[in-house]
Amino acid sequence: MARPRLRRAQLGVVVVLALLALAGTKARRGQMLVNPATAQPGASAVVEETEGVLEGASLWQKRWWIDRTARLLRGGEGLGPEDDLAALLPLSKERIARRFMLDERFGDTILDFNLFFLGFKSDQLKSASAYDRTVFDFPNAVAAAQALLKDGDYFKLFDLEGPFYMAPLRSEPLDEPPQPGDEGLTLAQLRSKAMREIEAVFADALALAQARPAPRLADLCKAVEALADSGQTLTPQLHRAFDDAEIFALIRGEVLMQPLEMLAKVAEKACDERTAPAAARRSLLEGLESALAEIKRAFSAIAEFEPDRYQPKSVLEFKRFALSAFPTKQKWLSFGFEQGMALGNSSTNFNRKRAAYVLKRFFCDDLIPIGFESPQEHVAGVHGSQTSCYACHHKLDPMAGFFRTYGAYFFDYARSPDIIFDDLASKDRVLYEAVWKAASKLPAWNIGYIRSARFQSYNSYGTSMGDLARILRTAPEVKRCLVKRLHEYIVAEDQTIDRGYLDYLTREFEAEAAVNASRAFKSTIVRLLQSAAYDQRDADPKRCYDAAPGSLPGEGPPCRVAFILSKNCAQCHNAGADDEAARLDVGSWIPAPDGQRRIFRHLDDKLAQLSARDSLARVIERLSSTDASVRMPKGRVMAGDERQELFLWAQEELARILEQTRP
Amino acid sequence: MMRALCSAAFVALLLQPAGAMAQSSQFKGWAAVSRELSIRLAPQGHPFELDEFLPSGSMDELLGTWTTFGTEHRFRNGTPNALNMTIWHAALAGFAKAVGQSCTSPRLMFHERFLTTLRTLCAWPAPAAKEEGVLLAFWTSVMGYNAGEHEYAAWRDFFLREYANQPATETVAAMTFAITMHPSFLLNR
Repeated sequence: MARPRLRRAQLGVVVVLALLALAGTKARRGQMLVNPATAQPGASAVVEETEGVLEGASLWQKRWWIDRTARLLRGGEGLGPEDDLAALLPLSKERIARRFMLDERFGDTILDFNLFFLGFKSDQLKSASAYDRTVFDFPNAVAAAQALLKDGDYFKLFDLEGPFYMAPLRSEPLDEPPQPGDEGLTLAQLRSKAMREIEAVFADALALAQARPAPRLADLCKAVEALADSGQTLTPQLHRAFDDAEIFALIRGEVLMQPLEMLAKVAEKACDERTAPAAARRSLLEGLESALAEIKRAFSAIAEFEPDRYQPKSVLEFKRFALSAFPTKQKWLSFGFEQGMALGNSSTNFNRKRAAYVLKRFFCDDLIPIGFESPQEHVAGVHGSQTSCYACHHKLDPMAGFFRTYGAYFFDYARSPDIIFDDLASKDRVLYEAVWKAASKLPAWNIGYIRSARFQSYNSYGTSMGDLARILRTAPEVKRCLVKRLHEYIVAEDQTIDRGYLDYLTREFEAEAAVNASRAFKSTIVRLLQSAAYDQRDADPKRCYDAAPGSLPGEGPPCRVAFILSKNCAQCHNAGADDEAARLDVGSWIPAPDGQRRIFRHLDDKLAQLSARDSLARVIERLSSTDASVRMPKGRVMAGDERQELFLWAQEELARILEQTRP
Repeated sequence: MMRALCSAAFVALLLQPAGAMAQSSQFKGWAAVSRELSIRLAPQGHPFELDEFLPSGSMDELLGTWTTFGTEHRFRNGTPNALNMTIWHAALAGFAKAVGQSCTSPRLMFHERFLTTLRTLCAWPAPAAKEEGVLLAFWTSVMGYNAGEHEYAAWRDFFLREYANQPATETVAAMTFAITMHPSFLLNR
């Protein structure tokens, strides 16, 4: 699998990127375990720290566990001939896991998990020991992996603005044939040529401004105005030496656009008849000097990433790009080129795709339309008047507001009068942003993470990417989502997890993360590696193998929903209730009247047991009703992901019953 | 004989315990399988170029992959079906044949430790090649510990019985093929 995956976006991407630009104008011996020795399975029994003597099946199982864990914690590289399996066997599982975590390749595992969490995992991070260039496209994933290896702030994963890790510049030939005059050049030579050409254009204009005798002011103005207006020529001239991902960085960094815009402003002012000629000349000269310096600074920083100078071999070797070298000098938005492609926005979707992505990836909210609590105020708009739509839009639209200034490819139009979308339509930015202006009681903007449409005090509001990052860092839903994804990554994506166990893992993680997020994350990994589910060779995905300490497994409802029911419903709907709520006991799981299934003890008005079908239908109705007097749990806010899980389970059960009873 | 092995592999898929049948097991994917074989068998730092065994260069994506571009990534094409089983069969048969041919004319570069085992096994059908230690070492070198011990025993007994007098090249190829087509090797769990 040394074949590098060369990904080239369609020509349309280049066109869009160009329009955007114009519109705005080894060998691993040292990493292996110590004392390399035979990895052959011996027949002798082994003394294990905690389990005593391992023999036969237990010994084989431990070897399997070690091999699986090595593969998991060493970036996909399981046990090889260089590993000393015999030395590992006597160690406890925790010690083995901790030992693997000291391996340099553990950084690859964390980076791989981070990409999984963000929804952009790949088959492999490296080809022939070089990192796949797309990995560099996720700076928060890289920054968090680096932090974790140094016991730093792992929650950098939630920072949506930060460093930029430019990939080593491309070395494989570009897809397009070379232009006349470029034949025979390597890509590095072509880049150098293109950058020198651009510098020369600015240098020529500067030479004119510095010439003695001085040129006529009108001629100088004409030259500077022509240069400022040359974006359509210079952009393709520069971009011909770069691939799409690199062009994306050039555009976001405004490498050409900003100096040209600056020159246009300088020329407009200096070449006004009212400006004194001497001041005008000085202004034009300074403008040209500044523009050339900016261009040179950016090109010099980019050249630092030529592949002969930079090729990281481990996560810790990933190098930050000096963002001060870009004219924008801004923090880098963590949504990179690929996310720009995957999460496009249009003039009509108002960033809802991006909002859905954040809710799904960071909050584990799949936006199942389960209805919502009727807001206490009237909700405007077509999606507000149609409750089936509002079930999702009450969460989607406020989340989308965080992206309100980001147009195509997440380009920030905050400083522009118009905003351009991926469908190449444009709108007046101020009018566009007004969509998120809040009604009376809310903050100035109706932007945030919405937990309840009815009770605003449950919600987290903000306006900027920094605010969203703060919400991600502090929201308990995000921590639980992180732990849930870690369970999926380590155990299996389709393995059912007892919600009580998930809550227990999350509580432990949160408590430890309050001190050190990285150590907490590593401890959570160890807990999962020691779980019963991880130890199953042929696990039943519908079974919960682990429960929170102290919980008693019994004959209750399925583990997928038992804890959710216990947490949200059992307070009223239990066997000991003495009111109407007692007709449903969510802690029971009894044979249904048909004798084939099991269901809650759920009685109708005449105190007769409901069929499984009717019982589930009522549960679904109560979960999804928009009528506050019907919707359960009454007067309380149930976590969105829990309502979603319970609702989905009930629907799946009901669908199965209907399928089985179909004639 | 290879046809019989292939049938045995399909039957093995069907004979998985009920728990395994209840889940929608997915292939690990070509990238993961290639990596596992390289780590276990190839010299350190010199992974195999297994793509040469694929019937066509881009078919790896049909064997289960995370990699895509321009959309969120999810594991695709991982559910076993007639087409991807055929591709697995073709690719791994090619690899197994290359391992078998290494008894006479090496095509692949192996790690010294595996090579030592392979050289002994290449004496097949000589008794030295049929010793328990040799067979177990070969099995674990290729399979790792993905499969249970009883799976090893079934594999060993099958070859001691059915390939007792077959030539080494054919036997080693068939042994490799039987391991790499085993569900415990190909599937995630």
